Amino acid sequence: MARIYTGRDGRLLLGSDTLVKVTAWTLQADLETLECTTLGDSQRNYVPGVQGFSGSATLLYYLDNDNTNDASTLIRKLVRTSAVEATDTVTLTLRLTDGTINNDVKLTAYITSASIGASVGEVVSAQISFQGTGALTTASL
Amino acid sequence: MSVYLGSYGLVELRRSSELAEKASVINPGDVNTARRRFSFDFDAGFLHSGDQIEIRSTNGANLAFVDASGWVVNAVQDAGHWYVHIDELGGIRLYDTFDKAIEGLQSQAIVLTSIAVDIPIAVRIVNLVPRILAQCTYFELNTTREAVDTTALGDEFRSQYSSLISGSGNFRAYWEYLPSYAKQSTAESANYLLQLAIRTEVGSKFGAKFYLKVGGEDGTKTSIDDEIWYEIDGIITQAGVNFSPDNAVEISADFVTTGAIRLLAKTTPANKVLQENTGDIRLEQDSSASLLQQEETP
Repeated sequence: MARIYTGRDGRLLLGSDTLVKVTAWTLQADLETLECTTLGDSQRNYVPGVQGFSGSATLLYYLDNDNTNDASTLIRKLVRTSAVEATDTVTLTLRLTDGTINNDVKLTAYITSASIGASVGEVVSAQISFQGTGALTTASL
Repeated sequence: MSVYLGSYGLVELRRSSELAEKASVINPGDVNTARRRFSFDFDAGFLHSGDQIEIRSTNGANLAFVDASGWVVNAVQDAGHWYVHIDELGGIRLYDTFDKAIEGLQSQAIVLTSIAVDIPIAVRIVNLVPRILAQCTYFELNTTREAVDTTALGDEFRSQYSSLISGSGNFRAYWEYLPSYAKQSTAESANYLLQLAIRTEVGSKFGAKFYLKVGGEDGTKTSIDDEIWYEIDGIITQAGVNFSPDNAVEISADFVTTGAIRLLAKTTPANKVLQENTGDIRLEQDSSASLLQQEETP
C-alpha cells in the first residue's frame, strides 16, 4: 500500500537518544565528479570523486521534565570555551519511520554552525548545521 | 442565575499622555492678566481643554505668573497642578476643577500676575482623575492570546504554547462637546475621543475601565455593591463621526491596548468574621509577621 511520509514520521537521534523537540532536519549528500574527458571525446566523461554529507536541523530550546535540553547538547559542541577537538563528533541518525520500519541515515558529524536567538512572540529555537565525516554508518532511506 | 443587561455597563476614561515632559519658556508678554490667559510655545493638539497639567519651573524660580490665590497653599511655588482651558487662539486659562476648565469662563479662571523676566518651564500632562464617558451607547473589548506552534517531528497533534496577549475594541457614544451639566465634574465628553485620535505630539494614549457590572445595579442584596471591570491602557487607532439629518450624531472610536489587560473585581466577601460581643477585633502581630489590612470604605 502506498505510503506518504510526513513530518510526523521524522526523527532525529543523537547517539541512541531521540531528540524530542526537533521541528525540521535536512540532509544534503554530495558527490564530487572528476572530469576525465580526453581529446577526441565527443561527450564529457566523469569518474566519481569524494562523497560528502551535510545537513541542518532546527530544535526548540526546550527544557524537558528531566531537565535535559536537547538543543544545548548540540549547541555546546560549538558554543564552548575550549577548542573543538577532533573527537568532538556526534553520531546523528536522521530517521523516517512508519512505526515498524526505520529508514535511517546514520553518520558521524561535526557541528559546523549553531545559531540561536530570542524574539518577541516567538519560541526560542536553535538552528544547527552539521558536516558528516567518513562514510555513512547506515543508509536505508 | 442572573442575566445582565448592557444598561448596567459603563466606560471610565482617564486621560493620558505618551510625552513625558515638554520644555518651554513663559515670556512676560505671554501673560495677559486682564483676560487671565497666558501661553507658551506648544503645537496645536498638545493640550486640550480639561487636561490636568503640572507646570514646573526648570530654574528653581517660582511660577510668579500665577497669583498666590491660585495655589492650594495660598503662596506662589515653583510647581503646581491645574486644569487648563485652551481657547481658539491657543491661549491657556488655568482652573482648579475639571468642569470649570471645560466651561472656560474668564471669571472662574485662576488669577494671573504680570512677570518681569522669562520663566523656563516644563509642562507635564498629569490627568489623574478618571471620568465616565458621557452618553456611551456601546463598547466592545476583545482580548487575544497568541499561540506559538511547538509541534515537533514525530508529533501527531499540534502543540501550542501561550505567547503574548493583546487587546482591541471600540466604543460608540453620542457626540457631545460638553458633558451634561449635572455630571460635568465626573463625565468625559465624546468629543475628547475625536481630539485624542489626532493628537500628534503627545499621542493618542488613554486609560480606561470597561465595567461589566457597576455597584448598586443588582437585584440580589448580597452582591449589589459588586463591581467587575477590565482595566487597560489603550491607544486610539481610529475615530469617526457620522452626521446625518435623521440620526443623532454619534462617534465611534477603535483602539488597541498597550500593556497589561486586567479583569478586576470588587466583591463583597460571602463570609464574615463573627464575634459574640460588640468589642473591637484585636490582631496580635509579632515582629516577623505581616498582616495587611484594608479599610472597608476609602
